[in-house]
Amino acid sequence: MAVKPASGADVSVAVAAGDVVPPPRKKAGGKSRRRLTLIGLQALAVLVILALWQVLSGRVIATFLISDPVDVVKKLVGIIQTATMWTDISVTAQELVVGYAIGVAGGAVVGWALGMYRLSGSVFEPIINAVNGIPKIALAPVFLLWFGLGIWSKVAQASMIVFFVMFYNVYMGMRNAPEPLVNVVSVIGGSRIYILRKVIFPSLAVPIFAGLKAGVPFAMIGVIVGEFVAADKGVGYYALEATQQYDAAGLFASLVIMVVMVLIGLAIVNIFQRRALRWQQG
Amino acid sequence: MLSRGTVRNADAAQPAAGGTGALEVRNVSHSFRTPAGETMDALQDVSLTVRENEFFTVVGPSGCGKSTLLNIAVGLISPDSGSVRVGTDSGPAAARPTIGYITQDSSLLPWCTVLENIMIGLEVRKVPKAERRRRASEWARTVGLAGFEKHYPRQLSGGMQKRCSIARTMVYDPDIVFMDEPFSALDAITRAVIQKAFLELCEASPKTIIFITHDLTEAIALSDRVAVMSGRPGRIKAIVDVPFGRPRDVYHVTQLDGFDELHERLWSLLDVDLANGAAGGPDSR
Repeated sequence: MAVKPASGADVSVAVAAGDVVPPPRKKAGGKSRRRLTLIGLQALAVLVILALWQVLSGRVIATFLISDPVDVVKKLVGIIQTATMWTDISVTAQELVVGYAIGVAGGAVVGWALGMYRLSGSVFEPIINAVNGIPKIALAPVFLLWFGLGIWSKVAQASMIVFFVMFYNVYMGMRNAPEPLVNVVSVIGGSRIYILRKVIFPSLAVPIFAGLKAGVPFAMIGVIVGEFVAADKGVGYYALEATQQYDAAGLFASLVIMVVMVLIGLAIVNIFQRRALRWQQG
Repeated sequence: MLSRGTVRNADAAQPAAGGTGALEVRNVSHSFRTPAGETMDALQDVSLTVRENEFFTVVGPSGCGKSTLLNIAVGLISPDSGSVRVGTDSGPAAARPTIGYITQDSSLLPWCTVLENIMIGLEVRKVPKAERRRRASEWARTVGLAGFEKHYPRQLSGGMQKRCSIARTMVYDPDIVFMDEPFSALDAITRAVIQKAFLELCEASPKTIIFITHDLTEAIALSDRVAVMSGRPGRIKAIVDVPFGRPRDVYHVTQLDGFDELHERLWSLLDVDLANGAAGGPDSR
């Protein structure tokens, strides 16, 4: 049984020596060493795959189909020094950010509202389920028709996909509102507003961040699909062009750029999550 | 129906029975609709009066409607029929009794620190921030959580969480505290320690306690009177006085003269229903 720190000698009325205190968090070196080993193994696995790719290319599979890692890196270094690629990246980034923002905001608000008001939930949930049944990619031509060749057809496509991801997370979170906590705080004397602020919203943080995280790669899917259908700028447009010119290295280089963009987005969400969900750690 | 119980701390300064600390439940009946669409009677014509500063315990088999009764008393459920009067409900708002509510799982807000959790009751009462902090820290110390003020609930053991929830309730000094099997999830040692600590708190600052448990020893150790409920639909079968004085030695209550007889009596009041299969059957919730 662990010894309680600090208040050991305190003899105030209710000091109890009986129950177990969780052990202090370990900051031992063993853990970080194990982590280093893990990172080393992961790097090794990636290297093996890349080496395999390099060896197979041109020997087993034609180079124009799969390129090879060295070529892809060369191409990547080449294209990110061109102004057109940076235009492509900034267009895709704009579409991604705006589409993502509209999608998560809409999904969160609608999810909250339908969860908050039972009747509206019962009315609209089946409708939203039905709309969600549409393969969103099939809407790309419609968005093109409505919003034109520019960024807005891609924004619409991305936000359409992200909306549903966010909606279901928040809606389910509202449905699973922590009733015992709501009860206790209301008996203590908390008003409706207080309960909303202090109990409901914080309880939604977990599903909201789940939605925010899942939303990033989904937003990228929407943007790239939009650019595939019709565009004259963007990383997806570049990928399509490269493919049509049998430039496998260019295609893979643009994929690397997309992955990096998604990872940057996830890293930003992670920073906020670490702050908001501090209570979950440790 | 009501026999005289030991009213603790009935000093002259306290208002007479029927003051802010008393509870009166009159002819309360309540039923639920099951998912299958049937009506299930949870409570049938339950009446009881709890005196000010009395430690009143309700025992009964699981599924007998004890928790329903408590939820009606704290106002989370409105009963199908009957009435509940807490203190002097009719008076001006300021004179109405404040109530506390301690549940089986501690129901701490997981995203708030120990100190923030303890401050909730003061925050909703608009106590100034500095005073909130001071009083909450004081209570953290009182329940033995000094040094843990900035911890989150999940970093605490079950016993510490329970003590935090006790501090969260006591900090705003409620007149009546409703407790729904508050200690039943704790291990035996922790439970005894916390029972003792809680009784000491009640002795230091007298309160009306409505306590629900299915543990007869706990009921005897803590209470002034014990109401025994029957299985579904829940009815009050008997209200039994606990003749032991205070302060009470929780750790050795089973060795007190008359403990065995009292335990036996409560048990036999419950037992009839166990034999009838009303408790713990496959259909009980």
